[in-house]
Amino acid sequence: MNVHFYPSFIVMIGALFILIQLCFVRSQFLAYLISGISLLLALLLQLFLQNHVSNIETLFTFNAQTSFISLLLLMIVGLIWAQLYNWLKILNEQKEEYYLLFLLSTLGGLIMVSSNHFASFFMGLELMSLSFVGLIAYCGHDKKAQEAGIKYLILSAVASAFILMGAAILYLQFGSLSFTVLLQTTQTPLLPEWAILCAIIFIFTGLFFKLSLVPCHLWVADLFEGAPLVTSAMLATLSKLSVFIVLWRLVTVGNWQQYQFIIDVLSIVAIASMFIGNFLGLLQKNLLRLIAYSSIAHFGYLLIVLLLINNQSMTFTSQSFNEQTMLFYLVAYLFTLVGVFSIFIQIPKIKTVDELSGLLWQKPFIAITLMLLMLSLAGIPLTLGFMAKFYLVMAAVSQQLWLVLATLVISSIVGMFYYLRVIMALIKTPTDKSKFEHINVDGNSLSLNILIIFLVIGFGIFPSSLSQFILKIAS
Amino acid sequence: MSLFILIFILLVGGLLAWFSERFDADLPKRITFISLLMCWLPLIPLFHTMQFDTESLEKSQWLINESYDWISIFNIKAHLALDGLSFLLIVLTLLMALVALSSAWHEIKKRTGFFYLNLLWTIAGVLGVFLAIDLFLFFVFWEVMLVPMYFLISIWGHENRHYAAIKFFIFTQAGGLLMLLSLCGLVGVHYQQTGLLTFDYTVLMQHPITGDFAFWIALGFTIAFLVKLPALPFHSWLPDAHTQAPTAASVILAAVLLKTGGYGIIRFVLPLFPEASVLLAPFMMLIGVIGIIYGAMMAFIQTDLKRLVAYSSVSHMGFVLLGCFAFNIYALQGAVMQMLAHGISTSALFFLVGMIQHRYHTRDLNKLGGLWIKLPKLSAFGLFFGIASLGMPGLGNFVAEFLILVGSFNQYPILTVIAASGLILAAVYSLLLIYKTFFGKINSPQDSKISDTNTKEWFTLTAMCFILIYLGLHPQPIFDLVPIKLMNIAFISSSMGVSL
Repeated sequence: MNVHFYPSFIVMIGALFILIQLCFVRSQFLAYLISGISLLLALLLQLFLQNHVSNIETLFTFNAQTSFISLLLLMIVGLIWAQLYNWLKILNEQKEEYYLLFLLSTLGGLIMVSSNHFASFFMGLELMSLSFVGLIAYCGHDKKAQEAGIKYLILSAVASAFILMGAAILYLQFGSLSFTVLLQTTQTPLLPEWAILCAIIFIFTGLFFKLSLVPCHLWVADLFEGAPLVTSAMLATLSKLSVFIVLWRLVTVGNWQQYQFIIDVLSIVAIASMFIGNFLGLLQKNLLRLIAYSSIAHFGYLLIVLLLINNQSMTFTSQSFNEQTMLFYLVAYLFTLVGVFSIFIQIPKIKTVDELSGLLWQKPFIAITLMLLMLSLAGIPLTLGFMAKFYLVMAAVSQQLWLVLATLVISSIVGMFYYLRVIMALIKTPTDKSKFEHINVDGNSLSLNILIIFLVIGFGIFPSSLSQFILKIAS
Repeated sequence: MSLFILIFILLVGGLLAWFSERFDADLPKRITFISLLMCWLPLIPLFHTMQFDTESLEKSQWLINESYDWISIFNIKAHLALDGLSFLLIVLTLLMALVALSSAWHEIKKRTGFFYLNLLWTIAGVLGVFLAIDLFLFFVFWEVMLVPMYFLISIWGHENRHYAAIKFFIFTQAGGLLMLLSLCGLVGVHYQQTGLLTFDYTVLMQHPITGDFAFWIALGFTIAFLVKLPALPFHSWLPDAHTQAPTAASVILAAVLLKTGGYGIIRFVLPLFPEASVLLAPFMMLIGVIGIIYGAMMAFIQTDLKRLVAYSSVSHMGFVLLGCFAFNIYALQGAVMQMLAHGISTSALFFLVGMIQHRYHTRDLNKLGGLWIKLPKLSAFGLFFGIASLGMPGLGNFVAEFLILVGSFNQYPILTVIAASGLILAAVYSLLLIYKTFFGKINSPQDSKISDTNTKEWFTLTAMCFILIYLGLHPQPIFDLVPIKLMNIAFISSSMGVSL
């Protein structure tokens, strides 16, 4: 069997073990251990597979990029997992099933990022989405979580239906569901162009929903607010990463830039996401809603990468630079976001921006970590977020996409307001000294914060090794 | 390594100052003082071994040149270099940092450790801006120095500090992002025209880019610098930031942060975009003149002392803009001199306002008056620096403004005449400031506990007086330090057919 399947297998076996364990003994620690070991093994194996030969099968494609993305995915899931135990301990629910669903959604993500066929893609997508429904509605007593779960179930079913419809129309044209046949444009067109465009738009609709890009973004803030914190973290990172990779692969493989209409749609969605994400972010008081809107804006920035694929009017970068841009941006943004969520997990009772006020003077280390993460999201130099933005601007300038660049600049300035508001709250003079006493700083969270600072600032100041690594992968 | 060490000392000093707060609240300022003094150490060899004579300057523009690989994928280097212009500005920065420290010594009582961390890191950022020769590195310093400055304003500022801090940050960040776009555009066009992917100023300067894009790229850079300068449409952050900032931050803002704008124009816009800057020049001259008149008139109607001084900065920095775009060696030297003289005189005024506020808890001109009787020494200093600000012959400001006006008269006689009227307006608001604060009826509360200048303040202010007098009476050494850079620009523009 293909060695590239092993990481997914290990994750799956971990999930099965938890199932078996549930029949005999209920123990959170055991489930934590099993999920941890399987994730760690998968991560190590994935690391080992980095330099392995690439391999294309009917359902899956494995090459340097997919290995790297799987590695990134497993690292992010691992970082979230590291906080899971303490967080679940204070949750008033059955705990073991959370690990099960957690592993299953990870498995779905792993399948998606290397899928090369609509069947495998859809399988991964549904596995992930259905696990997410469980993860979102996990707290049975919380009305908001129930509501969010129902919302996600219905909307993601509709999105999946759209994707299926699009895939069906493409099947009519190409006679196969494999992504590779999308390349074969020389075939005699059976369907008129508008039908193909319809299919593409259908698929986009489904994917944009998962990415919460602008016309399909209405669910995201409610969900982030309602869902359990770790689930929000998974939604914001794992789900978006894997869906974006599929979107990027479809656009690249299918050469969909040949249709001007698709380019227009992508530009409009990107511009609208940047603006609406950042402007609505201004109005938010709740921290999670704020992060939700910021994530809309960030995926709007990232959509610029899709406009660059196969764009011929490049002045000074190579085609692989687009890929590097995308990978670097994903690494930077996702690590920053995981950092933000792990800070939120450390301060579980604080929900709004105002409640943060004075944190710097009481719990300086947590506050400084959060501050640096906000600066990274805002794209201030010497953070990872800035390097990502620099990549993006370089790529976009080289292809002279002035309109989206102008939007990027204006909306980043708008976005800076709300990132600054968080920082401003942190540095205010505290009104009540005892309000942060419930935050306990243990060794686990301290070491995690140090790791986050190391990633965000260390790679922000010396990005050379990371960029060289990504260069090697993309070429 | 000496230039990197220079910045490193400040960064480490800041961290030490922060941690030392745990042991003693007074320790941070001592550490700050020591690290600021240590910054002079890397510069000392310059006074001995490097000769600032024409002979050694002709060999190379750079007195020290240090370059290391940084981000190899974009061919970005950590390249710091020092020439006469940056040397002058660094000396100014380090001197004014001491002034800021002196003003903060008694004023800042809360969270001293974090304050001095931010103060030192701002200064490190400013030094980086003056030294960075790689454009990417320059941009990084340009943006990063704002973050500690933002903290200085928004934690230790006055009544309306959060608003002022956000405004300051957003304005300058907007300019910065515009600069980032232009920077990438510049590198892209340069790569297209020469096949070299580089961010290095010295390489980019050898083949200035041409074509339509050059104009827009130059405009992007210029606007980013105009925001910092500040010139008229982009100036509105300055009065707020100055007014709300604590005295030390006001001193740093006025003395060095504004100078980064002028420095950017002289260092980057003029040599990198010779064609475009000729096209831009008339507009920039116009903006400069409007800034001079507008700033002076706005200063005149203020009742808040700090706002008055802040608007006078707008007016004075208009002269810098005028001098930069006159394409004339006198005007350019005047612009450099104006940056130095304004840096000293205005920060001295802010220092004095801070002292007054510390003593009387008000900056309102209508509530002050007759301070001379109570505080003769402080008022005498106020008189001196007020007069320096209006351009009294014999002081640095006069030399600067005179040179700028002489230089630009050749090309833009009408604009220069209008700009010259700014000198009269400067006299109006400066005398108003002196009259309302130090003379006239005694409005201020009679509190016998209020004391005159203490030794530290007296020493600081006296030193600043002497520097201004020196600049006014014997400016030639300053001009000797910057000729080749200015020659370089003048040479380019003369080859473009601009008469000198």
